[in-house]
Amino acid sequence: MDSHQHEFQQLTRLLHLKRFEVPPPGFERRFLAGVMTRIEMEQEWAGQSWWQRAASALTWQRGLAVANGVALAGVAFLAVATFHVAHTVVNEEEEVQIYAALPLPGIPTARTGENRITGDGLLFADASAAGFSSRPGAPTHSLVIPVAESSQPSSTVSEDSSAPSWLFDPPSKDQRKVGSPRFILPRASRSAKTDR
Amino acid sequence: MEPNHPLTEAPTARLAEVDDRTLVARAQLGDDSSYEELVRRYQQRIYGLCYHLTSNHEDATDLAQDAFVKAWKALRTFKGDSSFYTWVYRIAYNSVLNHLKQRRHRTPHLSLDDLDFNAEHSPDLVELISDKTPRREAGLIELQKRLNEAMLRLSPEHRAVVTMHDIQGLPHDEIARIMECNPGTVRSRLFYARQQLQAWLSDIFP
Repeated sequence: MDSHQHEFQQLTRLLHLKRFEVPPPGFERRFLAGVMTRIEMEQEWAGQSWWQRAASALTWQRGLAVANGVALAGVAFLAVATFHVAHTVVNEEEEVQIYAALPLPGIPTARTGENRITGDGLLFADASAAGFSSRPGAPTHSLVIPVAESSQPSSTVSEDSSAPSWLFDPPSKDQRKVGSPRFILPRASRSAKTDR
Repeated sequence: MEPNHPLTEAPTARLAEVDDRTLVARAQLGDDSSYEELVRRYQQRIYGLCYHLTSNHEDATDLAQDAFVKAWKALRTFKGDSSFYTWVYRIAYNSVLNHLKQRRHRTPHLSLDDLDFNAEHSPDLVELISDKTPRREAGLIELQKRLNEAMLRLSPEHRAVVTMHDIQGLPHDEIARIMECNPGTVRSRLFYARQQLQAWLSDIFP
């Protein structure tokens, strides 16, 4: 260590000079007063209950800031809610118009007043003729009714098997009795959507 | 606070003669004047540590005050295993380390007006600059500036060791207790820091 001391002798003497760096005049008095003031404040703070601390912390500027924040949050919430509702209504109307304009690919359409039965045993009927279309100007959708094989009238049977099988789950033979009519619109719409 | 406790009955006028342990015991019982005396005793040294580590007067003042307030808050937990001085020093050192980590990229403010006039009469300084520069005052300021810049290039841990040992004159064991490491670590850090400073100030030390 002695050799090190000698090696760094000049440096350590220079570092000793930093002892002469002193704070500005009056520092000691101000420093001590500052520490004791902060300690007194801590003591007062510790003696208060939580609601007194909250009340002392809540100045009118902070209260104003909190009120502004709450008002802004309310306006933002209303804006988001209004936009969401309006956007939902527009979307529904757009969907109806789009689906009405789109042709349903691969689905044999029924001309007005004409019914056909496919090879899957489904009866394509004119929905407007059946009284399902009530809106003026609304498109005419095909109505699909599962029919029993025995009920197929030979004169009007069309052995059109061009309808894609993926559109429907063909009913089993047991199910191929006269059932309740079902619209193909939802399935066809979905396929149209995916085609896009 | 217990008003009739013997520790609190000592006259405050003679507080300067009371040892640290007694003052701490009184302060633990709620005697603020005893704690004030402790602050008065060590404020220069604690401020010095903070100043030499941050090279900023305002930061050093805030950090030193924080250290004393933190010590006052934790005074009830102080068991007296080490001296009050070492304990406060450790609190201040940790506060400064945290401060330096948070403000790593802040440019330090080196106040060259802080040098005491007595420094010009120091034999060390006279020997260092009298025969090297024609103008002593300019040499003094330049020297201080170069030294401060070199100090700031050290890591906080190495700067702390140099500050406590070479500037404030603390022994290795005391520094080890403050920094909570081995005395051997203190020695190796001091050697490395001196080597670095010597290399950076090589034009001053030919």
